[in-house]
Amino acid sequence: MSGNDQQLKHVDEMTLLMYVERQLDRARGQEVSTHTQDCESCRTLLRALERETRLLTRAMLEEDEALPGRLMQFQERARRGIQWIWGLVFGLAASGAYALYTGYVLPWQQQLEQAGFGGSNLLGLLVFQGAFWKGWQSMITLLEMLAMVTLGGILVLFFRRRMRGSSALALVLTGLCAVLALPGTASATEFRKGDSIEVGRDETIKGDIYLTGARIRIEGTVDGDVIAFAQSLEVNGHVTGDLITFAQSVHVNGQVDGNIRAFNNNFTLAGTVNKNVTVFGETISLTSRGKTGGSFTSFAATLSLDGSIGGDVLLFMGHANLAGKIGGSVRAKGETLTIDSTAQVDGKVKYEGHQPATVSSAAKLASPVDFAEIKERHDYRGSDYYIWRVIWTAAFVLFGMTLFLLIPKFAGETISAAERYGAPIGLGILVFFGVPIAAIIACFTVVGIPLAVFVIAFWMLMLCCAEIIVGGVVGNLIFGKTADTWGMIGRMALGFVIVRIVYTPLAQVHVVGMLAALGIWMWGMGAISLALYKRLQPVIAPNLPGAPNAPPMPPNTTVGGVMA
Amino acid sequence: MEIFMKLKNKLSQYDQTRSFSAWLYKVAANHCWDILRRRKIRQDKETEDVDTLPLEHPEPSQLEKLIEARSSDEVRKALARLGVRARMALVMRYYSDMSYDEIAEALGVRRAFVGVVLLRARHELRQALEGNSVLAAGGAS
Repeated sequence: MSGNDQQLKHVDEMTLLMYVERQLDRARGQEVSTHTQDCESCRTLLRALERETRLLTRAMLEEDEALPGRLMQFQERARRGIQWIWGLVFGLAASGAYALYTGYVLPWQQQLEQAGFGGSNLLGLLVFQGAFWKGWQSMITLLEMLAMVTLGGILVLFFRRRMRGSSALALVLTGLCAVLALPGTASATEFRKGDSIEVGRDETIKGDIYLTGARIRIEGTVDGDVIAFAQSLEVNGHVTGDLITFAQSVHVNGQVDGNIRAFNNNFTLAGTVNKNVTVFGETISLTSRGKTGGSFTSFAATLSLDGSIGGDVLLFMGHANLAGKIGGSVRAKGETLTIDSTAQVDGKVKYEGHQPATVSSAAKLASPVDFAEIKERHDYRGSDYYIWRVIWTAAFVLFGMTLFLLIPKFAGETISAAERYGAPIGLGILVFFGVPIAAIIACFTVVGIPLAVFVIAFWMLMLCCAEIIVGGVVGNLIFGKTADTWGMIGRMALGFVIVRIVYTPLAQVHVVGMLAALGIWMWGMGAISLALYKRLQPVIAPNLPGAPNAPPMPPNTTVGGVMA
Repeated sequence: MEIFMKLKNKLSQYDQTRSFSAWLYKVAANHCWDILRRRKIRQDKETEDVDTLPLEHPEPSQLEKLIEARSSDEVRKALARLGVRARMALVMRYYSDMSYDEIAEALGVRRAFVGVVLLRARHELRQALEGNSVLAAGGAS
């Protein structure tokens, strides 16, 4: 310690400890409080002593109470490395997204396929079947990896107390290495660019090929995928993989064993595609020689389907003409639909348009065209919808009121927690994705099942309460804070109604509505979790230098003093 | 086990107006001291504590850094390495939430020395955590 004047006046550690322990008499406590407000060094020491107290309590309590202890560790860990927490949050979010995909999107997709609309499920085709944009496959692999890493992290935390740190780390690293070592699809990729590119008639390309050029012709064989960016593309040869193309005009006269995904102005298919076709274009034509084994999905201004399609057809078009054979069902939405005499559709035909389809009497249809007129958006939902919204709003307000009356103090704490915005939303993301994942993991053990059921039930309860909490915050923003229970209920009710009024039109816009709902859920859940966490945190030492209300002690208990 | 046998015999001496946990700790502590005395390794820590009381101001930021970087697990391991008296003091205060009077009674020291014992125990703990005598200035046992 240096001996300058400022430091000579420092309060010694013993006195600070007695202050933290609330063992100083009132006057001395006040003195220390005043000093620590001005002296940064003493304030730091005081803070360190308080932290030391908390660390000690936590370390000892955690032996007995594993769960609260783990919760308590959260804050300390967050302080230690916010980046680590962000990593975990992102990892869990990725795991959540992946779990949502495997848990909801995939079964939904399979259900649709079983219902006879397989392959032409738009979301599945565009996003998750991979070939349309290869990047998605990498994304899913990345999500899988992140999920694995997060799971690994959770396992380390779980085994940390039972195993030596290095052993646990080694175990997780081994696991990750095993995942990474899984055989991937090994293939050589070739790149070609130039004004005019041709894959010759006698040429065979092993693996994927990327082509960029003004004019591209494929006469030979490509034993892999073709990804082409061109002004004009002509495929007369054989592609064993997928054909993915961004070109002004595309003519496929040859054979594609995989899928075709294309963004074009003009697209003509006169060859054979074994799997599915997805095309965005202005003019799309499937000639009488053209053949698709799977589904045909198209967004087009003008569309003519003359060839044969093995699967279902999904169309969003201006004008469409069906003249060929379709093995599956047809779903079309657009301005006009004409079904010629040569047309044959084995499945149902559903058409949504401004006017009924023109169907030739000679056309062979399994059933008459199911036509639905496109109506304006505001007529789409009936008044029932709004009546039910009002009923549900009232039910939620009642539910909220009951909760506020049952646990007014906790309700107040939760709304205060929600008003911190950043922390509850961050924690909410963690809880929203992390809790169901933890519950699923708990289900792997027989003992864990009841715990998982309880946790999920609690998670759902939090989900129901989330909007109420957000309503409470909005109410407080308008009328200001109050400690009165009925005041809080009033603010919550008003805020809730406002949230509903704002949210109802947003809910009509799919992505925005979903994001708004997620935001509300995460915010509310985070606030509840934060309030719960605060409740579980032991209050041992005062957090701030300001404890003048310490009980007066006998004079001989004051130990230490200003250093001379 | 021996302590529980002792407790059974001494249960009749328990004064119901006083804290049971403090009495329990006192019986346990006395029993431990007896064993140590018998092994002739017990030192009169009570007076020694006062004589070597560390009043030196630790470097606040360094201490803060030390505390921040420690996990509960590390603290538990460090606690296990502490002397009996220091560990008892910390456990009684921060785990059992005993008052200074109760701790004084259990340790058999004057109430005014409880804070000294606790501070000394913290210094020992810091040293055990860090193995660095600078932070635990004067707190070596």
